[in-house]
Amino acid sequence: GPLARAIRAKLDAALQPTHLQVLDESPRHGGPPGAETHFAVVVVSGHFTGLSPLQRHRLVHAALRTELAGPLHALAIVARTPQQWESDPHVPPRPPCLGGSKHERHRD
Amino acid sequence: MSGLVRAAWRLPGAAAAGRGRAGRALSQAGTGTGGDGGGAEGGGSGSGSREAVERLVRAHPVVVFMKGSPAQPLCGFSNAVVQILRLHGVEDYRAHDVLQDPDLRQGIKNYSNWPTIPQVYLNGEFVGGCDILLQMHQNGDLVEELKKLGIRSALLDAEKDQDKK
Repeated sequence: GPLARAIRAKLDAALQPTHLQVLDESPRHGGPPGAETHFAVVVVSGHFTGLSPLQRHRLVHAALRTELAGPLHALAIVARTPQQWESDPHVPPRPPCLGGSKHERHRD
Repeated sequence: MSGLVRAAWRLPGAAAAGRGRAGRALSQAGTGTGGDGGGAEGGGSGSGSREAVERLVRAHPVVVFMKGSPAQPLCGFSNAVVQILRLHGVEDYRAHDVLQDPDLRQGIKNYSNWPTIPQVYLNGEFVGGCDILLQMHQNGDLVEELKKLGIRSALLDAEKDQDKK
């Protein structure tokens, strides 16, 4: 969808990843397919070298600032250096949704 | 460790969402003003101010801003944080339900310059969200950070038991 493409483009531009996965997880959070509200990204980039997980996530947030201020409601991030990805190309299992969006009176 | 985490999603709490508003224990710590959802300062406005948030994050060594409560998380990512803390035997912490207080919800994001909930603070310092806490849990950093706060992770004892078998 369009948001997925925007996320991919922004992350490509900001972080030149060697590996990038952009997954619309909205269906797992109670949305219809293609809702594009909850995303997971797997970003492998040399830019992350020497940075703590917090700093890496902040880089990803910075690249997606516009989206996060808008339709992007939740973002799960896996951020690794190319070396880390080579030694561990697996992502942890995602926690199941508990229908949080249904409990909200208004969006973020 | 990751097997433990996978199992954590099936612990009570993961199945109990959305059953109504009973048991909204917003603060697990027994004493103190509570400081949840705007109650501490008497109303919605101001609960998201920098000063108000600062007070909340410094009120206890472990402070979590989440959706729902530890007894009844209302979001999978918030539940993940609760379950991880539970695995480490950390049941005494301050939890603030941002769904109860829109000012706090925005205020905490401004304070940490972090766009999403849940948010975990250790010793007044922002540590990250659910992904980072999960990473810290899996690589042993969380045990170390808890130790610095004078909290002994339950997993240390669990490992000892396993060694004896």
